[in-house]
Amino acid sequence: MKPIVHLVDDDESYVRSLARLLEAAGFTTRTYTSAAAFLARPGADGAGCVVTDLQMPDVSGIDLQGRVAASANPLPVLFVTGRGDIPTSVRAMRGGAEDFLTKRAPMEEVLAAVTRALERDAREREQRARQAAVRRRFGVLSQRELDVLGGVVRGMLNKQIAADLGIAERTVKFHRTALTRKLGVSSVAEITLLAREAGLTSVDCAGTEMTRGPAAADSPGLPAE
Amino acid sequence: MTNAGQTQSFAGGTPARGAWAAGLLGAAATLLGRVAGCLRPTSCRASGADRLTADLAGVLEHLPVPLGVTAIGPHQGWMHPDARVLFTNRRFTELFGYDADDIPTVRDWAERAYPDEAYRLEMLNWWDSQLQRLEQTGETASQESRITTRSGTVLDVVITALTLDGRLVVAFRDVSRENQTRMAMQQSERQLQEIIDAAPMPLSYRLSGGTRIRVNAAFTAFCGYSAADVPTIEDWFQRAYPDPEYRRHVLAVWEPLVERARETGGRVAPRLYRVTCKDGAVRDVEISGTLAGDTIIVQLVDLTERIRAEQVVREQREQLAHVQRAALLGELAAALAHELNQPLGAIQRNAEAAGLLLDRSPVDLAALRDIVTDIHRDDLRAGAVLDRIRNLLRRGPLSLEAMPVAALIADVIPLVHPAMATAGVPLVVSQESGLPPILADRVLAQQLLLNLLVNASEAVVLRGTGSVSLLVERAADDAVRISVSDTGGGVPRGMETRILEPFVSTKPDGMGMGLPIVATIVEEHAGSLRIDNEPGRGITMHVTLPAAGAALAVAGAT
Repeated sequence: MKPIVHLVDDDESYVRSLARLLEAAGFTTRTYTSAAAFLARPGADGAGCVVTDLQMPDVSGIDLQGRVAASANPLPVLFVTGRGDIPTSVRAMRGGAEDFLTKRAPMEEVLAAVTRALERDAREREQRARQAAVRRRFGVLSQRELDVLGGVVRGMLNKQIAADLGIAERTVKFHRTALTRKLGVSSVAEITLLAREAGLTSVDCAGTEMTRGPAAADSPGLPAE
Repeated sequence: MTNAGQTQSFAGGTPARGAWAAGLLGAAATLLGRVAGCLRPTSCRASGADRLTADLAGVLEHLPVPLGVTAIGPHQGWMHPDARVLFTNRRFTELFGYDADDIPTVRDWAERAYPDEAYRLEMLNWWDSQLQRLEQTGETASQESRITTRSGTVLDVVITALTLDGRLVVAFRDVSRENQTRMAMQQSERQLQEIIDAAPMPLSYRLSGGTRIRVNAAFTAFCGYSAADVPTIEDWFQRAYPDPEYRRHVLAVWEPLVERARETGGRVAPRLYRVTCKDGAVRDVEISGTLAGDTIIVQLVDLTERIRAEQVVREQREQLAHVQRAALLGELAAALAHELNQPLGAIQRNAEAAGLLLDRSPVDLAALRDIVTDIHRDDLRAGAVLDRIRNLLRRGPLSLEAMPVAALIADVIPLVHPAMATAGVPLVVSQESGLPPILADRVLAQQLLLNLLVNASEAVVLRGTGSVSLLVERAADDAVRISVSDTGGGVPRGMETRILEPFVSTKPDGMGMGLPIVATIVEEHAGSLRIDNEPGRGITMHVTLPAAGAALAVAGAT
């Protein structure tokens, strides 16, 4: 599906003119005259970006940006505002805005910013998808296997991992073999790469944030301690 | 007949005085003429051949006029030995103290009545000349004479004589008291003139009995005109008000005031007139008058400097108000600029979109038409914001018009709302329906309301939370009340009057001119201002302004 540029501004005339410009430049747009209207939109998980005014009654642009960032579909948010003062722009960028434009910015800047935002959205979507896949893969590991993985990712020797976890070295080796088999990798480098892709830190390995399926049990044949 | 109330300042007897006595004598003569032939002479004080008949003597005795009869006829002068005094009546004796025995001859009379030789000669010469006239007309002219009585008193007397039966009947009229009164009046008039002449303020007055006027030295010093320059009132009006139309206006104001003063006996009320002085300079002069007898003493007070000073004050006030308006707009400028960026930004995007659409083929004319319509509308929007700003920055003297309050609110809210929205201050507006229009200067009324709203808004911002409300309602039949309330915490009890003082501000960078200007504008519109302060809660400013109808009625009555 084509990405949608969502335009949010309580000034009807401006939002209509901006939509016209973007449509004429080949983008697909939707317009909303309030943040609430935008947040309640159908198809809220589609690709795209948000262009919003800073100053709106009820929910402001900054609030909107915060909510979007925290949502399941964190689209990039650009601010377009009539206020061109520095404190405002600094505040907006600090808040995590993708970009900050004035309402009088030249057409080229606006189109370029929207293009960049859509590109970023595409990239991030892909990354999220990849991360989700990788996380699913790690879900088959048991907790002990994850613990060992954490040590491996940190570059620890088996002996060190064993000491850290309070288990025998050969148990560590056992878990290592099992996890490499489950993950379908052969080298530490690959393991580390995968882990990084999944966005896992050593904390994640110990944590409960992983989605673990029914196969997440220790492998059979665990040596006795 | 003589007119006792006359205040003529002439010396010397007038024909009217003698005519009274002569008339009476004439009547007596007619009466006697009828009986003269029928009567015989009886005893009489006079001795000698000529004596009065008893009846004639009786009549003359009873006439209420001092009389003497002499033997002198028209042919004999006072030197004639026959110039004998034949008769004097009681009144004569009462008046002068002499009787016929004291003054047997005219010469004796003259010596006693006119002790001064030179004066005596003068009187007797006059007498002789009159005797000639007697011959022709039967009577003399009247002559005022100073006669010394037996007791030495000097009396002012008017003498008239006529012939009767070949003898001379001389009548006397005592005008001493009259003369004294007249002289006293002349004296007091002279004193008045001296006082007026010496007075240090410009005065002028009309001389009795005519249109001639006198001016004092201060008057001439002030406007350059001496009595020779403006001998009459007409001359004054001509020279002081050379423009005929203005002169007509001055007369139209002055004359009714004089009338009113005459009716009420009071002053001719002071009014301001533009007087052209002898050197051509035009000065603002307050002219009033005081009635004194039948003349008016007119006083001039030069108000040119005061008027000029008032003008300066007015201009400075106007400048200050303008500066404050500019400062106010400066405070609102950021928000107003934002207001402008909306329509201008939309115009820009529309134009850019149109540019891209024109590169396509076929060109989407319908879309372009929509774009043009939108551009038009946004241009008007931007223009309206600029118009409001420009109107508020207008300079000029007070120009009152009948203004609906709804229009005032519609002008002001768009100017202040953007800033209030940015600052997060809610504004609630409510107006009663059917309100009468107020009489106000459009720009100053906007400045007043703008200041109240900005002040209220800033108080809320300082406090951190709160809201502002604007309420407009009727206040009595002929006034409108505008109330601006805020929940900005108010000011400490007792500070209510202080916040109206200039340079007092609760804001760190405040100029402190907003509320003083509000007070000034309220005053200039004949309105009233009340402050309801609730420390800890907020302030309500109540401004009451007269409705246009009432205000015009008041103005018309003054």
